[in-house]
Amino acid sequence: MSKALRYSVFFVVAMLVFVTSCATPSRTVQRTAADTQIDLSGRWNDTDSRLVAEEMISDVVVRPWLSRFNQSSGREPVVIVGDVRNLSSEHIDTTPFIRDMERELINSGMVRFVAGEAAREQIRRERVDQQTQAREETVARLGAETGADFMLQGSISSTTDAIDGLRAVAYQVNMELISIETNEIVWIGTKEIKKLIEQRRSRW
Amino acid sequence: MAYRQSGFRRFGSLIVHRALPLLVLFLVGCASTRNTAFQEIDEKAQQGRFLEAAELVERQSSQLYSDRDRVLFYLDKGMLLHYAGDHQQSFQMLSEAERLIEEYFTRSISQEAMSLLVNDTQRNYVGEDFEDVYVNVFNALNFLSLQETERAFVEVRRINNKLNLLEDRYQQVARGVLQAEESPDGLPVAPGTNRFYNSALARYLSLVMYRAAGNWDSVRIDWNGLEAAFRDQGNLYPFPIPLTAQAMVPPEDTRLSVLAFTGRSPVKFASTLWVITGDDWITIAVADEQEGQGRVLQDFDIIPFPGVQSGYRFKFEIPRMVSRGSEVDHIRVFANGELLGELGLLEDIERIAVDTFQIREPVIFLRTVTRAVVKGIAAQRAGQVAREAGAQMGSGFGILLEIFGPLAASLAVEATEQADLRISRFFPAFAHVGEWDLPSGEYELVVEYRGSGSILWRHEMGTVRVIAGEPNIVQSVLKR
Repeated sequence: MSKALRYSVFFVVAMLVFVTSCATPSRTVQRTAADTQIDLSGRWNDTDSRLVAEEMISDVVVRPWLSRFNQSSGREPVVIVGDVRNLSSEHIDTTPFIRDMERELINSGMVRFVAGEAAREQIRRERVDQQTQAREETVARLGAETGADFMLQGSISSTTDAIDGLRAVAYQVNMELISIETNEIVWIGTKEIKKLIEQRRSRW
Repeated sequence: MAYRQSGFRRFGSLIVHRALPLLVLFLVGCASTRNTAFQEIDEKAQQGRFLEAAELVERQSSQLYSDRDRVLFYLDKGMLLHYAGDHQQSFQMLSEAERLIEEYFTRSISQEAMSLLVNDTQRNYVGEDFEDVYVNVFNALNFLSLQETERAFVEVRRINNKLNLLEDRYQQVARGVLQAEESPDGLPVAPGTNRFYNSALARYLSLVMYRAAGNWDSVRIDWNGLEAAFRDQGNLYPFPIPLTAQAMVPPEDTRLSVLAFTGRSPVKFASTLWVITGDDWITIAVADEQEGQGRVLQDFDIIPFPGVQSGYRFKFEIPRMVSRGSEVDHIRVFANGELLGELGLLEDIERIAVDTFQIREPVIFLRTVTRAVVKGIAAQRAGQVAREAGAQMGSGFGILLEIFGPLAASLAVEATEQADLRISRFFPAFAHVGEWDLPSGEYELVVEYRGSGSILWRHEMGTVRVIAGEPNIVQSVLKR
């Protein structure tokens, strides 16, 4: 075998080894703090949910509706979180967002809070069960629930503008606080998040 | 001893240069391809045994799909589960296919390099545009079957985003072609000149959803989009719109929409040409793959060709798309035993797949020819070097090297040069639609498929509730 040919064969084999080794997938796992901002795909994620919930609640508790209610009723308002509809082009589980909202509302200490629809049904079943199964002194009373004054509900929508390899997604979260007694909308909050997602055309 | 070695060498050389290449050709010519491996699954799907077919796909996935074919695995399994009525699992599968299609927008340079050296299957299967859109169409239908309207709407919005992207990418080209067609001396639009960028099926689904929600602006936009699909992509929709503008008008009470999917989407078969040279002769052989039979040798000639050197072996294998069509020519819908009417063709998925393939065909051809020629020359050189090295050695190993070196080089060409036959197999060939205004209530629905003058199948759908303010869309499938 001539020297040149030997070098050529060696070069081709080396290139093949290099090229295939570049394609070998690897995975590493690293623990991070739960509030670390991590954006991988560009889709709606836990950070978006948390940031929007924090901003919405910090806005809702400083608006005039709260002081007006306090003055007229002499107590903190009781709020319930209703549906948050997903009107976006992503399959967003709105449950974590609703939980974030509930947590922020409770932690603000400026409103009182009652359980949502699903939890209420379960609790009511338990209360009815207690009437026949629990000791008398420990039985929860029927008809003693705290009624909510306001319902917080809203939607997450998105608009996408894209060309090959570049996508701009604008999420808009709209929340409304509605008086349950009068249907009056006492507060509207809007929060927008815009993301520019660039995808490379090539990789090794 | 020297005489015996020389005689053995001559005999070996004869075997290597004349008989073995032809034997190898014969064996390979009969060999199965990617399609033959799917025969059993295809048969089960045709018989409507979709769950069994999906289970087979899962069980045989390691043989049927490589790591680079994950999009196909999820598309195939997702579609079979959709037909089987396992809508939640189907959604999981189709969504994973969609995610990978998005991920594979970023091409791997190493895979591209391998595909230039080996064959086109070394690249990830990235999915065709129509596959990417139909993933969301069938996912929307999955959610409608699960009565999860909000999630069905998410899929509809994704469809619209994708169609917008495709429109931006291809419409300029399409408009140019249309203008050329409209000019007095313009040439007719040939298949493969106008890319798929708008789907009437997707637009219709979106229209039905928005109609149920009472979003009439979106209904109008989708109707315009549906008309534009027929108008601007005449090569993909050479048939009349099966609906009227009545689709945009709110129903008096309720409107029932019936979607029926028929036939099997096209597959790719291999066409192979071998050119093998001997001393002063060449062999030309042609094989075409046929359904259920693998490669079938069509032509085989040994032609005297003075001056040609032995040891060259070129194999050109190119995919060709083959329609599998449908036996169905009429579909009628009955409610409570009374004929509601016939369904009309809304989307020719088969035509869209073929047209998409035809656009890529010249590039595939050029890549294949270039690669095959380079490989053929390289194999001849390698074989020659092995032969010379073997002859110089003179030992037993040398003789083996001299005889089998060129053969190994030929086999390497034979084994590595393969057509890329990958495509999703379980999309339907045609989508048909019909809609009727009905008083809200319960109906015993039957979809009757007819072909060549006889009834192929009566799909008794059972009791269907038609409710005001709901999409009221039902679907039926016959994979024949």
